Amino acid sequence: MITVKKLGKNFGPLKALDNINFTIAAGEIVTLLGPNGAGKSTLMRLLSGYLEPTAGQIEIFGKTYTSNRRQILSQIGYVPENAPLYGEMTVFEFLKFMSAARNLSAKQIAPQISELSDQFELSEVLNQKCETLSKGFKRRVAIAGVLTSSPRILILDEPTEGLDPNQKYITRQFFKDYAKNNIVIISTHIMEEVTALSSRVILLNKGKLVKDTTAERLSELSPDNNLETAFRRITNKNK
Amino acid sequence: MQKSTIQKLQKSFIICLFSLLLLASFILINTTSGALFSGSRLDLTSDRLNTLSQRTEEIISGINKPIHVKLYLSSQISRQNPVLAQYAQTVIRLFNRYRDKSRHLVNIEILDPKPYSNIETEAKTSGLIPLPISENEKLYFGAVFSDNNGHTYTIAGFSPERFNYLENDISRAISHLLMPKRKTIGIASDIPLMNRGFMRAEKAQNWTFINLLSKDYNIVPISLTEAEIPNVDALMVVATGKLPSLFIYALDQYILRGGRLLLLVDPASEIKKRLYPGIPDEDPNLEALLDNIGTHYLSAQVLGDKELAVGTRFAISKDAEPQSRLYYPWIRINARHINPQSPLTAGLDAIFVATPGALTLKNEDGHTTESLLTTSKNTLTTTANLAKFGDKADVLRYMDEKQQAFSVAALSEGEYHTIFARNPLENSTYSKHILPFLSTSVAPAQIIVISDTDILDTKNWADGTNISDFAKDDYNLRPITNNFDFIQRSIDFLSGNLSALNIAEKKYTGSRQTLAEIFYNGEMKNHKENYQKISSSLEDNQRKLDTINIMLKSNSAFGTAKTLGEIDALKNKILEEQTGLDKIEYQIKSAITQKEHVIALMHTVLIPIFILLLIAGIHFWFSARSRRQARRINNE
Amino acid sequence: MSKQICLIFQKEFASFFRTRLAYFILGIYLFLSMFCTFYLGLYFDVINANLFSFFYFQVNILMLLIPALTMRLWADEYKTGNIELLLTQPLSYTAVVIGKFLSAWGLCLLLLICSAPLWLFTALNISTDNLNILTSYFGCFLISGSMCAVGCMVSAFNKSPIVAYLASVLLLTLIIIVDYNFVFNTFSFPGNLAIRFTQSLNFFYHQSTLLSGQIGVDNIIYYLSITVFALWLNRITIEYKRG
Repeated sequence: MITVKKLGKNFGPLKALDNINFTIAAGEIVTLLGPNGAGKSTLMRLLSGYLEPTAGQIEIFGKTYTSNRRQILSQIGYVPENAPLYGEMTVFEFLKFMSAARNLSAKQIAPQISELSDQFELSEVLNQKCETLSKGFKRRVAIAGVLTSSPRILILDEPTEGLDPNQKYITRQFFKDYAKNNIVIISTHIMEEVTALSSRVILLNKGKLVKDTTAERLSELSPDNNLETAFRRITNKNK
Repeated sequence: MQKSTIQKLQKSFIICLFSLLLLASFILINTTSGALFSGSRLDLTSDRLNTLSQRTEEIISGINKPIHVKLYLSSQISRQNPVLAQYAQTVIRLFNRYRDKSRHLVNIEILDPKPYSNIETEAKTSGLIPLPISENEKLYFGAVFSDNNGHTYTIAGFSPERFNYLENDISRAISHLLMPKRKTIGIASDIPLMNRGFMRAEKAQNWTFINLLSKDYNIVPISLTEAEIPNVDALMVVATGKLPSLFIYALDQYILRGGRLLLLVDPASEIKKRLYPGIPDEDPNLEALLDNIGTHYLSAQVLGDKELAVGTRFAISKDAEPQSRLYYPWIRINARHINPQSPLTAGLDAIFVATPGALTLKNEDGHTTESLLTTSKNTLTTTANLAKFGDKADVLRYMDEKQQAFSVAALSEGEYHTIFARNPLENSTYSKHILPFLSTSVAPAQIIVISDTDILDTKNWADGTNISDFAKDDYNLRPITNNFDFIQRSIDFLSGNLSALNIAEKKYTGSRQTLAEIFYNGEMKNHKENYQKISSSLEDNQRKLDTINIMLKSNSAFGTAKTLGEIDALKNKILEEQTGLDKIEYQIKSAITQKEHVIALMHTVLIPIFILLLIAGIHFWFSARSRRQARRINNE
Repeated sequence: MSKQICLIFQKEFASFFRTRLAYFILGIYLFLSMFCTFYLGLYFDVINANLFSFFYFQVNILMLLIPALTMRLWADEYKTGNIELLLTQPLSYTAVVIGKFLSAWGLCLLLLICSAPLWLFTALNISTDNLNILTSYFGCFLISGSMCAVGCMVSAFNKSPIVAYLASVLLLTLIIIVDYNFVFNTFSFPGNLAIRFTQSLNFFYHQSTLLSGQIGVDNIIYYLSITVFALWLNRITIEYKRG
């Protein structure tokens, strides 16, 4: 359960986020939608504990970062935009490092890597250096990395970017499955993704929460029942 | 202002404040720990290089006023000479120990006497001597100690040669300032020890040991014609021949008045033999005086010692080649024969004496005698005249075995009677001007007797680039035996300068040899035989040439064509042999240079490459292991 | 905590070798050290029972090379964006800071160990003062620790490794050469107090004590306090830069 109350974040004079309030319960898959610079990545960084809020509060399973940072982080898997990896490591070494960082015991590491390598089709690149991987593989490795500890909250910044259609499909299916018992938060500006995941949508614009609804309801806001039109209408109207 | 900006400013302020606090605590922690712990260090060097001796600690604990040390160290030294740079660090470190131990009563100021600067002028005025390492520049490395009363003490130059004596030199300087009133030492001698102005210019200089002693004492010459010893804190008498009876009277009375006497008496003084070759003289006439103080002296006898003798090169007969062999009258008394109980000799390692006399000791009522230096039981004696005028082979040939240990130096303390049956000056003109005659002691006296004067000869105790009998400065002095220590301690003891007593040479067991020296010795072994052959032949030829030259000078008719031809042949031979020696030296040096280059190359290039390959191998092994693990997971 | 430190240490230490930086530094270190020992330190002509020729140049060499080790520790994380990944793992900041620092210090230890053949060679030829040499090595190790900490701290301020390197060298040079006399001269402290202050804070004083074969509590405290101070600033910087 994630509860966000009056959340605000400023970068100097710039208000990146202002008065954001929402609650996400387990089993939900939430898409953060919004134009460029709307504050999606900032919100994700706040949720993942990388940034500290200027105002408001984030509670995750009833705990806050100020007092229980490591406990919360062990429940969260966060993949930042561009899926950064340690280029000099091989995929196997990276997954091993992530497993250890996420408190997996030595015995658990091998089976977990084996399972994730099957899941994300990484077996052929396990001994390849991360810096030599294609964009798609990099993203899959990064996601696999945070999934080693099976976190209860998965936060992914534009997770399907650079994936081929097959991989996109597989990954979305995985998110859907994963969200059955956990929380999955995805940021995107691809409408197709929102529809495909048929999830709850939090629409941000200029640092403000504009809509918190489902994909279907959001599309209903446009005369042609199209999500993209609705998105354009809402974000343009605010301009 | 916006709330967020205020928050941010607050955060920055707190961080800055906290950082400042941390910086302050950093300074506080370090100054406190410095004040608490800088005086106590764990010295992990095997020879306790950084630990001050017990005696020095005592001197430091006696410091009751600030002592300022100006350490003059030309910055060019570190750049020009790593050996001196290394030594400079050692000296600075030792000074820091003095400062820390004295709770900063000794404070050190390091000054760089740049050429033509005021500091250089100051250094020169204070008596510092430029180091003999650079001809173009004057580089200084010495120290001036001073107190608030304007008393100063100068160490003219620090030299790595005196490494073992560094602490001794510094402690003496400090102890000198703690006792600013200089004691006066009178020296009476029948050979010229001091600049008396009556010898030839080259000899009209002080002896090295006098130069060294005069750092701590006022040295006044005392004439052998005196009938009374003037008021001095201690008296040193050097007797190599007969002393005037009036002076013996003066000595006798000096002892009875509680005198402090260091008496060096030598039946055959090699110094004198060198200074006045061929002049016959008589043996010292001090038997009665010596007997009287409990040190019986074997008249006109020279001691030899089979066990403690040192070797030298000489020909055993007129026709024979010179060879290295033991010359018994040259005795190196080692620690086993040096009295370890007496503060005068405790800790000394070696004393060199040449053709010494023999003393036997007896304790009598009123005074005690204690032997300080003894020979082994394998002693021999011969006549002083033979030692003085015969050659070494003859001396050895006519030595009688004694199988008895003799004393070479002894301390006698207590009260005595006069050696005269009645006042010899009674009714003479002297008696009116001098103190009344005493027939028995009025105060206990202290007398140290040494039956050798060659103990003073600089070449018998020191080594260095500037060593001669009359070395002007003691800058490069490297003691090879403890002769000077012994003399210095004797003077300290007799004059009551007890604070300086017993700071001796520091003993180091660690290697004081450089690798270059070791390599040189190693290479020399291969050429030794050849080298020795050529150099002894060179010596012979040189001697032959000298003999012919002397004959030529004394008898001009001797210069026939044959002789001139002989001279030419000898000169050619000498030149040839010198070239031969130079060639060997060159070969050795080339071999060493080559060896050094190989070693340097090995350490600079080959070993690093090997290490890198080794580490790469280990890295590869770890990577391969990781790859194998990954493959295993794939297969599973 | 120790498990986390160990994990970061392993990652960073291995990364020195994966990126070949370790080989580069090690090669340069050994070459420079030996070159200085043999050609500038006149190894053959100086009494080297305590490896004076070698240790005389160590601080300067380490001062040039350690910033190259530490420059990328934080700057690279910022540059590649990996910092976001690293700091959102359930790892404490302190563990990450210490782990990174220890990896650099560990490599310094390796550097010093790799110079041991010289010790071995010297000991085979002359009688060496081994305890003195060991103390000097310990001194170098402590000094390198404080340099690593300073390097890490500077790296945490920068995104560019090159800037981090130059800034670290500059800062270390300042720390080493400044003798603080000017501070006391300016405020005209009484002589003894000034000397005590300058001595306690002087890098060179502590360094020469350790390299001469002595160990004092104050020397150890000095280098450890620099290390702790720099690491603490490092940690603050990480948190502060996070926003």
